[in-house]
Amino acid sequence: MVLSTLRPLLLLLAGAVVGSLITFGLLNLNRNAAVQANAAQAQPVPPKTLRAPSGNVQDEDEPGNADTVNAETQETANLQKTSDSTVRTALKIAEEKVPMRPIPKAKMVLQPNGLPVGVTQDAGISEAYQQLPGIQPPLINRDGRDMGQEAIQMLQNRQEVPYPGGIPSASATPMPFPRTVEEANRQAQGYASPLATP
Amino acid sequence: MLAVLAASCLCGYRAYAGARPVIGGIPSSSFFDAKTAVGNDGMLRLIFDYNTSKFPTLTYGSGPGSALWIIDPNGSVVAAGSPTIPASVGSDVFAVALLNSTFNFLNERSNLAIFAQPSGNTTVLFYYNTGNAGLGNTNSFATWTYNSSGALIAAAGPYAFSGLQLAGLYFDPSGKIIARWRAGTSASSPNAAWVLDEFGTILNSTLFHGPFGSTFLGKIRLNSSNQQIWPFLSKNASGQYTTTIWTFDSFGILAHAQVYGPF
Repeated sequence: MVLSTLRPLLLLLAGAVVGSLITFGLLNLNRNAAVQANAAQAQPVPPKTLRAPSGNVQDEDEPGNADTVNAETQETANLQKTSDSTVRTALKIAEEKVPMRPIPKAKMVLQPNGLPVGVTQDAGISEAYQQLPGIQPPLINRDGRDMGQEAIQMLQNRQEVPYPGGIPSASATPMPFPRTVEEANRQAQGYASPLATP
Repeated sequence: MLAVLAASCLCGYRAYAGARPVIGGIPSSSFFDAKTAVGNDGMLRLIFDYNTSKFPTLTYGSGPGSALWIIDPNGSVVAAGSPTIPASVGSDVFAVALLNSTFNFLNERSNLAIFAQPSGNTTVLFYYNTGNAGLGNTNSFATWTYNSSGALIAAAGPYAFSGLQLAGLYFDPSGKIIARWRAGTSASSPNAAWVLDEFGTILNSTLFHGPFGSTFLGKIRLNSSNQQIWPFLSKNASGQYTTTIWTFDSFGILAHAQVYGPF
């Protein structure tokens, strides 16, 4: 009799307990989401070790934000402070050093045949010099030496010399344009010395 | 049918009337060349001019000069030329030619051009003036060749001859150098030309040809056998143009001549 009287009351109490549990669960879920959102705001991508100093670091230090982070986040933030300080110092040093990488020095590497890389066996050799007596072929580096000084001296020692075989007079009377190859070669031979003829 | 044929003939005639061969001009200059180049190895060659003063002068001082850098596709410097090119090399061709400017470092001050050779070497071509400064007074040149590590492996010249100027000095697309010597200052003055390889070796040279009055030589080209091809432009009394193409053999002797026009 008594049991049947209390049954509705018990059901009401059970419902209240279940409702409380659900309400508590939902509130707790929202709170965690808020904490995670704050944590995400405090730890932006890219990873901390690559972070440069920015406004986000200061936001984390603000009291309002500090209240929302849990103990684990606080510990990470402490580590991050140290990391940021290191990164800041490294960046400052890097900014002061331009260029950041040293320029490589020229290396003289020899091929298996003993010639420097880039030099061929026939480099500097040509039959054309037989037609240009007095003109020197190029200086070729065949032993891997530093030929800087030699080359600079060559460039600085510039002297005008007569052209091998002579040249036409600048004031020469214009000639008719040759109609044939033979005529053109005959005209040109008039300027050439015997040495310049192949 | 007859109407179509008549229209075709008329249009064809109009298309060829006054046809002028294009054998040079600004887009195909016979002077100057680039100071940057990318080779078959994908590496960029770049020249750094070390300026010792804010404003360029005609002879830009005796400062450290210019340096060649070789840069890989990632932007890393893989080699730098050694030795550095002295500032005393060359003269003011580029500074004067480019707007005659005195603005801060607006124009290039090194008197050189570079080419990234198929072998991986880099050839540097130096331009010199003597006497009067300015475009048209270049009268000698020299070359240096750096290998892919930046080491200097060849040097040639300077070549300077009494009474001669350089009417053309540039790299052919193959990397060969073409130097066109001119006896006199007129566009129709006699010409001779040399072909040099990546080390500055003279491969062939022609005799002097001209002067030919109102017939002008255009930009000299090379074929794969290093044979020089000379295009000439002539204009007759009626204002019609004729072009003549000369092809030299590999020894520099004229071998073929072909005339086209007037059209």
